Amino acid sequence: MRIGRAISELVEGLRIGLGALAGNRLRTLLTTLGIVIGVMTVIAIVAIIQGLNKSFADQISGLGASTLYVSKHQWLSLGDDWWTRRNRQSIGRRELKAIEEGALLARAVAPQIGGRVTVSGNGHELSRVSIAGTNAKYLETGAGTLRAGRFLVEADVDFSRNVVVLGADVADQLFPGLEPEETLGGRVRINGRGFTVQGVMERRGSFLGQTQDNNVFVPVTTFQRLLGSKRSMQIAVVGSPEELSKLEDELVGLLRRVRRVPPEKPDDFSINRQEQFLKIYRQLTGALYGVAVGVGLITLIVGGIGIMNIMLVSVHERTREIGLRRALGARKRTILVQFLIESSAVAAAGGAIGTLLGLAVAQLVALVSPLAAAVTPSAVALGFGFSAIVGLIFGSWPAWRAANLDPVEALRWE
Amino acid sequence: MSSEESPKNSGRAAAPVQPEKTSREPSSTRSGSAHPERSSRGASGGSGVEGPLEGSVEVGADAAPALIALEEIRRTYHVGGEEVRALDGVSVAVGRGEWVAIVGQSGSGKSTLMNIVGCLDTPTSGRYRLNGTDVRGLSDDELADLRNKEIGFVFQTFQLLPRSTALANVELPLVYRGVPRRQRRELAEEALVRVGLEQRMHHRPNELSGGQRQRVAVARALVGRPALLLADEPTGNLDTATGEEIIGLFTELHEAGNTIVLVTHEPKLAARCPRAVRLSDGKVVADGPGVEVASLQLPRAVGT
Repeated sequence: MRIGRAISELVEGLRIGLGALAGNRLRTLLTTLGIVIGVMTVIAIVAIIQGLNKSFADQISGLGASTLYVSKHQWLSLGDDWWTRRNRQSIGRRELKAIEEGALLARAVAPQIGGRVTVSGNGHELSRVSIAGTNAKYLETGAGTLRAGRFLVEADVDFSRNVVVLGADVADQLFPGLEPEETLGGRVRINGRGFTVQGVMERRGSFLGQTQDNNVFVPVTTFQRLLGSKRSMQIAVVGSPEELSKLEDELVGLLRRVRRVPPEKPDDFSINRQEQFLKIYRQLTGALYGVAVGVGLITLIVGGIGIMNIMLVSVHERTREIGLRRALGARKRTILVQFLIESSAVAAAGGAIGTLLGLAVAQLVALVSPLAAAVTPSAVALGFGFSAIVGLIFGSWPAWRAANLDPVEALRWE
Repeated sequence: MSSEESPKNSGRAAAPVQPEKTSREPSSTRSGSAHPERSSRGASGGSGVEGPLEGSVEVGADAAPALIALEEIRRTYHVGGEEVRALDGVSVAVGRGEWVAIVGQSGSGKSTLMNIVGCLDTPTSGRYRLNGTDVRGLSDDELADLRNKEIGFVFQTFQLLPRSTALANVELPLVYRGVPRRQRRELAEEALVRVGLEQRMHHRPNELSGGQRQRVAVARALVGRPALLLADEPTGNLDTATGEEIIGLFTELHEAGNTIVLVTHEPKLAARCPRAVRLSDGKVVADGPGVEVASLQLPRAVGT
């Protein structure tokens, strides 16, 4: 009987609460607007962050986890001593040779020099294609995979051959309608010089709206012959995951020697890792999450106050009903539960609408901007549950007031 | 207002005379008999905390206790630092199956008395037993349960839930009793048939006439088979003919054995009840057959 009573009270509370909401549709809608906006914002931001995470994970996989990158500058470093770094010596063949010969812990060493070139062929011309000069070890640094043909081989570098491996976009645009296999052996011109297509890379997709397939690969020696040997190269050195720090020490020693850095001077080069990206990225998305949570909390509080306000009105309007229910045997607790159900139902409804709108906004953002959007069910559950809790919290004071109305006064209320 | 004062005062002076005449017979047969006995018995074993009169009624239950046993009920309010005695030592007993009107002008204390009888309010001092249960010291939850079980309320303004059907309105007391849904429905239908609304069960209050609404309210009061029907000006918002119908319904219910307490300011209505208790300034000034109490008070009403 006790349980039966509790259940029938709960069901009644639900019925009354939802009935009251249905009876005041416009008011309910306006009340939930705050919650709707709050949840929508949070869901949209979270969806975008999750989308970023996903494409970032794809992107970062292009940087080998056990690869060190020797370059003139530190990645993603801004500010303090850019002046000294600016005047650093370039990294070139000398360093490459030293590492190739001296780094005992290195499993693979691949240089990378970059630039922009114009590529033409088959009646098409593409400008601002990024070109990388590298060697046969490039694929071992985890920077991509081959789709068709073969990648550069040692002989290509040794003899500075005019051979090229095309990125997926370049292959598509120069040879539309052709399978990658069919483009092999084709002739293309890079900045006017003739090259033979030797391989086509697998598509890598885009990151932050930037395609990663609009590129060509040529032997590093050919690159330098064509575009000059002055520009600094980056050297990717693959080690074993356990001995990465040892490898770094080894590289530092080698480079200081070959670059003749006096012992009292700091390194005039940088050794970068994938982790640095991750670190920066986490800081970035951490800040975004912080903003999302902050905005979400503020709007949910505002929404909660709206709910509290409307619940106070609702309690006030239904004073006589409350008096009647108390007279007919409703306990204080029953009235309390009734109004709590009502307020959390309003909030949860707002949360549901907000979630849907948030997803729509995220999709819209993904459509019109380079940002991606992805939504996990947990985010949706969070938005929904969170708003219901807001309803409970902000509904508790009005509900308490309703429950503690004096039945005599309440019945007499006009 | 001030002109009202003197008749009231004279009324109060006259009161001890009138009720002695009018309620001599009833007081020996009904409520009157209980009080002198109890107070005399209780005086010896009094363990009163709240006052001497309180202690005097501390007593073992009578062989056949009244359904409503009010003993020296006082209820005071504090309004702006001033003490207002809404009830000033009211002792009334109502037996099972009785139909009693509580009549008085506004400010006489009849509403306060109704609230106390209805367990919506508790006396400042005095003892009230309803169907054998002493309400003193009951928790708020226990009072709610007592109201649910023992009392069926009928209000002047019907107090129906506007968005619910007649059936749902009538079911309400059973919801708070935890009666399963199906049984609830059956009982509510039965109660609506009882008040002659079998054709209107699924109508909402705004689709019903005033008389029909009050019938729904009566059905709601009956559905839990309470010991007491407590009606507050049940005809106050109805025209004469419809009011007459409702009184007819009460008569039927009385004849069927229900105990009814009807609170009203209309002596005419009180005259229709087998017994009436007249309150003035928080005191019982008359208690006897409805016709007598009502007619005796009439000249005074005209005087004001």
